[in-house]
Amino acid sequence: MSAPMLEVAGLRKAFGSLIVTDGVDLSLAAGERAAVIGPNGAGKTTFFNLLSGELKADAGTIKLDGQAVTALSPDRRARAGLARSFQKNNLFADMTVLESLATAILVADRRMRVFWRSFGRDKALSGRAVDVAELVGLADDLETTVKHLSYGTQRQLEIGLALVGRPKVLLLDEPTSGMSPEETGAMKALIAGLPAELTILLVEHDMDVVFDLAHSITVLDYGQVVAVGTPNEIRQSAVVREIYLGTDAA
Amino acid sequence: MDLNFLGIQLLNGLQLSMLLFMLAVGLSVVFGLLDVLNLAHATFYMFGAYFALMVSRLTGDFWVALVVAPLLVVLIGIVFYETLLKRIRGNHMIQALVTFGLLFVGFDLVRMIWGNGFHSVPEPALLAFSVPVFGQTFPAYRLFIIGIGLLTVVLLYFGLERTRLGAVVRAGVDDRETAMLLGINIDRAFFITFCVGTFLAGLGGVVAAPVFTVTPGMDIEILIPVLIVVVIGGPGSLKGAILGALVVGMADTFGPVLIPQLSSFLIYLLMALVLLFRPRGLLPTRSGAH
Amino acid sequence: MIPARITKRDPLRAVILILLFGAAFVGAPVANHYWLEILTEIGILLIFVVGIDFLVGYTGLITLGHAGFMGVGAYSLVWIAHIQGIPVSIAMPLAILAGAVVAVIVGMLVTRVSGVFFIMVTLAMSMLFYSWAFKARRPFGGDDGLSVAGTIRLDLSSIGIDLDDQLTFCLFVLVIALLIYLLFEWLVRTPFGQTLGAIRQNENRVRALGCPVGVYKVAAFTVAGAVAALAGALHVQSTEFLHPNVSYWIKSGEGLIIVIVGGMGTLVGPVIGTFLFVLFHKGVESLTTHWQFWMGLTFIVIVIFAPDGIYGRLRTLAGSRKRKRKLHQPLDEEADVRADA
Repeated sequence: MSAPMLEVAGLRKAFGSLIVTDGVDLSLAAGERAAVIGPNGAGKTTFFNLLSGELKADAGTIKLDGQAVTALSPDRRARAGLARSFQKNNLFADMTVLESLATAILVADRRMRVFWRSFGRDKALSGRAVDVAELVGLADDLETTVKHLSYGTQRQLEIGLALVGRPKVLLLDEPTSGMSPEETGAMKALIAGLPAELTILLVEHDMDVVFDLAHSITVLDYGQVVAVGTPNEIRQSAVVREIYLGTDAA
Repeated sequence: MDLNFLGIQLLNGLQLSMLLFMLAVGLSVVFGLLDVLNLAHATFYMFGAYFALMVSRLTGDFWVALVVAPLLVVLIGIVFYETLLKRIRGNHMIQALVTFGLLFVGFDLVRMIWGNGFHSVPEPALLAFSVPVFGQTFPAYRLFIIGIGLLTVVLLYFGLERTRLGAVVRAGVDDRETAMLLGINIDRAFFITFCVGTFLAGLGGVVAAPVFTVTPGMDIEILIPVLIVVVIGGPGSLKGAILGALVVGMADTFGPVLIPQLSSFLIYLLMALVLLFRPRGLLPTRSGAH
Repeated sequence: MIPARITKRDPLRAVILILLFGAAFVGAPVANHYWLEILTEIGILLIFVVGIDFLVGYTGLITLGHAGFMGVGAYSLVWIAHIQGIPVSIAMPLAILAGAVVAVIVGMLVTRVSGVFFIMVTLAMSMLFYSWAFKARRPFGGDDGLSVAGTIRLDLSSIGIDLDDQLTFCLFVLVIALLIYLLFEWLVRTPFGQTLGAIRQNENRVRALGCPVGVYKVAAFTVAGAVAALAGALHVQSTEFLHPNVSYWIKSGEGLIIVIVGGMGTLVGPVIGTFLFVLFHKGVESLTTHWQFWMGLTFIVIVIFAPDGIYGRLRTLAGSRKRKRKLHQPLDEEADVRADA
């Protein structure tokens, strides 16, 4: 087996005396689809932010394709190939879908400092933006202003923006949160249809989504890894059942 | 430079610090509580001074002015709050811009009513004497300003730390969303905080009137150091306002004496240093600068 | 199908620009002394204001201290040309460079905070310059100002242009203003400008995409600072008098007001704003000495009721008329009824 695409070892983060991420290990092979689950307050969001670089870890290492990214800022991590989506839609509200994607592509291409060429008439750029739009099912909404899109469609664009840099690893923060059942189904299909070589880590609340999409699942509780396994193993794990029934019975 | 001289300077610095504190604390807590940067806070201060001028001329009594003028300022503040600020709630940038427009309006309003000239408000007869300290004499009125400032610090401390309203305000500054989820009536807390802040701005204007000249433009003159106090101290907290006011007040007093080359730039330099190393201020609240 | 353009055209912009600049260029040769002064003032203010719009409307950095850079430009030019005796043709680029250098330094400091905090810090930084200039008796005359007549105008006689002639100087300023406008109009359409716009709309997302956002904010701040220094250098050439007021907060405030009233983030809106502001100012000035009162009040009303400014309103109007016409093309009588009403 080849070296892991994403490797996390001994990751730790405390806010004051409260330890929210407590020695978490995680390893993802290239093209693997993995998920991190856990009840509310398990430290999923903190873990996610540690991976994306929004938060700095107190201890531990994060390696992306063999390269240590632990000390890098979020923008450097993104350039290294670690892209993220946001839990709440985090979009360019006043741009059209096409303009959003084209802007994201130009940033991902590191062409921000180009001040001698036109942006609006860049055919190659709009061609690539259309490709991404098709990948996330937005080909019919190119000219729509983002703030006029429905919530589910905005979530699709959210994934699209994360994909423009052709990342090695895609971190998805609760991609189906707040969605209707139909929208959730569409999103599941979208994620399942993403290129097979892309490594994906989902942080998700919705069990059905996780069990359908993930090859492996890591369960967090109080900042610690309490179980790792295939969806089947996790489904049958007594520890996991206890955590969920004990704290999140509703 | 002997110790006595330093002692007098210390009192001067303290007096300026207390004045800055009275202004900064209202601006800072209102900013921390609802992200409203009220640039017209300085206008309230100026109106405090002019109302003091008006009332003390009418009654011939500074002490009446000390009570009445800040209340008149609060009245203006309430009108401003109810007619304008409430209307544009939620958009912090628009709120800041509206208060910025008010800065212009207030400036000319003062000129329309009281003219362009310089005015002075005589200090109260009761305090028109000097106290021997550090081998020199120090005007009693300036000690009175220090006293008012310290009293404000103590009252605000108890108000914020020991009352229910204070707890609500602190919760609101720390984490507005959670406070609202807990069903805390943040609007009422904000209104009262705004009124207290406005009262203090007016009071600051009154007590400053006998020390500084009362003139249009005194608003912006105080606004800049007060903004620097908020930046240095970190917005939202009583402690930040106290620390910021002490730093700026002392730097402005001792700067010209100790480092004459830097004189009036010292406070800007300190602000730059704070921005460089602690962009959220020396004593930030949890939500900090946005 | 790939759309031909990523962003939409805005033809109304060109129309308004041609109308306003056309009027200025046609009017100048027949204008008397008083009107030439006004046109020159419009030109200089316009350079200052489009720079502010670039910062405020495109990058989302609401500055209340931009006049500080006008001060840097004016004082640098006077120091290099009037005091050191270096030719203005060399001094002017140096003054602009000084504005850029100061803007890099100040920009690195102030972009560490954002939002409403940014307003406070930029205001304070500009007042730092003002309070220095106010006290700088030697060699700048402090708050008395300094007359620099005869030594500060650019000498273009080698190419047959006499800038001591009022009309020529006015046209010179207007041409520079137009060029600066076109520079920004170009910049905002490039990938660089698009990145700044994206930062304004969603800074976190741009960072997550791999952009060092701070660097781009400082870059925008620097461009606008250099342009403001140019405006300051032209201002002191126009008035031939150096005074700290060129950097006063009121100047910064007026600039911000013009941008917002005209319609921020549109470039052409602030141009409309500049024309209206100067003309309105001259008009009100002759009626009352309390110009700031009316300006402040107008500003508040516009901020509350029409935050997209004059140009925003014009565009909405033009857009809705066009849409109506499409909807009711066969029904001409409805348009007539509306016209009668």
